[in-house]
Amino acid sequence: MDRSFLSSDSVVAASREFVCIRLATYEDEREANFLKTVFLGRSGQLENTVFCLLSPDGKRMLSRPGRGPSFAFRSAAEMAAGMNRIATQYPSARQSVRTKLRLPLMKNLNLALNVASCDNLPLIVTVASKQQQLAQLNGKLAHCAWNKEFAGQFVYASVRDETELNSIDPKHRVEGILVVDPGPFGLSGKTLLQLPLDADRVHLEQGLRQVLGRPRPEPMDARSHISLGMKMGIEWRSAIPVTDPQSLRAKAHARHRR
Amino acid sequence: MTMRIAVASTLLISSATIVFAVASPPPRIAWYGTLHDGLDAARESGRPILLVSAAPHCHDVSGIW
Repeated sequence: MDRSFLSSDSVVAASREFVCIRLATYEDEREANFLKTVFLGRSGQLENTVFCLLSPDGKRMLSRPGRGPSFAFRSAAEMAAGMNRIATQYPSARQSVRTKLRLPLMKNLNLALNVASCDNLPLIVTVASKQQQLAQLNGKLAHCAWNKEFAGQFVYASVRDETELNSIDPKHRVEGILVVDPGPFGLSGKTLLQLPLDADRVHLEQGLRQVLGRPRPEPMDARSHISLGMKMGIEWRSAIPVTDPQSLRAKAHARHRR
Repeated sequence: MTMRIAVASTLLISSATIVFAVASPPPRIAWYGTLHDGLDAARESGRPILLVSAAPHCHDVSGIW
C-alpha cells in the first residue's frame, strides 16, 4: 500500500470530506467482486491492491482506477488538490449533519487484529453477549471514533461470543471495551486497557487518550518482518484465494528458497 | 542574561514540542473497514468515496500491507 500518498497531511486533511473505505483484499467474496468492477490488472485478475475515487453511490469513478494512488496522481499534493476539487462538487455533503455515526468495524476480530498490526495501531474490541448492549456500546464509542482527536487512531472490532477473545491475553471473560496491542504479526493481542459496559464518555475518552499517549515500538522494516515471519512459520490464510500473479510468483519463489 | 533567557526559551520550546509529539499522534485517514458500512455512510452523507484495498499479508506473513 502506498503510504507516501495516504499518510500525507494534505491527503489526510482532504479525506475528511470523503467517506474512506479500506478493504482487505481476498477477505470477503462480495467485496472482491466489487473490487473487480473497479480495477483488474493486466492479468485480468484481482490484484493485491486497488485504488479509486468514487461517487457517493459507489457507481461512478471520479479518478483513474489502479493499484494505488500513483496510477491517478503524480504526487500526494496533486492527489489532495484533486480530492479537494471533487469535494466542492458535492456541496450538500459539506452541509450534511452526520446524524448516524457508525463505528467503523472490521469484519471480524482476527482480521481486525491483523489490520491493526499492519497499521501499528491499537485495536478496540467491544464485547457484549446481547445485541442491544453491543449496539449501545458501539454507538457510544462511535462518537469518539469520529471526533478530531481519535479519528483514524484505532482499529475496531465487535464480538458477542467471548470465546472469540481466546487470541487476546489475559483471557478475559467480561463485557465492555478492550483496547488491545495487536503484536507484530497480528495473530494475538495483549490487553492494554479495559473499560466496563457502563463506562461514561469522559472515562472512555480519558482511557483512549492514555493509550494513544503511550510510545509504540517502531515496526520492523518489510524485509525483516517477512523473513522473521517465515522463520516463525507464520502463514495467514485469506478467506478467498490470492489471485495476484506477481504475489503468487514471489511467494512460491520465497518458500522454495527456504 | 539575554543569552541565558534565549537558551532557556529554546529548551522550553523544544521540550514542549517533544511532549506534544508523544501526546498527539500524527493525523490519519479514518477508514471504514467493510464495503457495506462505507457505502451506506457515503449514500447517507452524499460524500464521495476514497476507496483503497490491500492484502494484509506479504508472502503469507500477516501484519504487513
